Amino acid sequence: MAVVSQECMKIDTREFGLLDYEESAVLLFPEGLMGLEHLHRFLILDQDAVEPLRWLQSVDEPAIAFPVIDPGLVFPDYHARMSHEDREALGLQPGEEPIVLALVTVPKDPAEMTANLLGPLVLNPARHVGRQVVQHDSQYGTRQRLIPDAAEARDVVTV
Amino acid sequence: MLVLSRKPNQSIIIGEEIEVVVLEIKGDTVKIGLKAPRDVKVYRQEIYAEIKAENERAATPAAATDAAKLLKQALQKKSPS
Repeated sequence: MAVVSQECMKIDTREFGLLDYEESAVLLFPEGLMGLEHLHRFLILDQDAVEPLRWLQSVDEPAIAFPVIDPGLVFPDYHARMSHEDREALGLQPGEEPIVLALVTVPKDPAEMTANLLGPLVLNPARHVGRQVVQHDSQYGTRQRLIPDAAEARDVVTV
Repeated sequence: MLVLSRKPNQSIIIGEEIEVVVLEIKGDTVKIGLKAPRDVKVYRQEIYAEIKAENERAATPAAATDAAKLLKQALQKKSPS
């Protein structure tokens, strides 16, 4: 019988400082992200201060962490379309749905934050695997505003 | 760059498994059909470039906590429950 040891690893991150993680929490993106094909291993981390955002923390390059969001929170009708090949790569059984996350870009003015709904991430946590899928002919873009009325939102925060 | 002229319904073979078919030419738009193995990813070039650029921008967020605060307020406003 094989001896299973739960390995605890450490990375030095930008958002969390020195971070302990378990190998079993790592999500594998075999193809990486587009343009960042060298990033294969990620953790999804929750932090009260950024809720409802979450962090997609790179294990390969600990200085990189992407804010991500469940796109359904802002766009209830959004649906990430997947090909048969995508479903196969995630090991999804018929009827099983992936977790969908969108990468969030936070520019200098946070009210202008956007989500990338053209290249969402689909994950199958049970199999510890994910991939970025391109939406062909989507009504949504790479810079979908998360706060529709940015000027108003800024007022609220400065009052 | 290799340049080939094709007419509608003519095609080009790339390697042994990829075929690019010119389906229709209408005005300034060419409709193209692609036959490729399932594991070959096919994207419109500008969409690939756009997602790639956005991924790089997303990797270096400015104040995520400020953004989260604004977003939380916007969401609460939307559904005050």
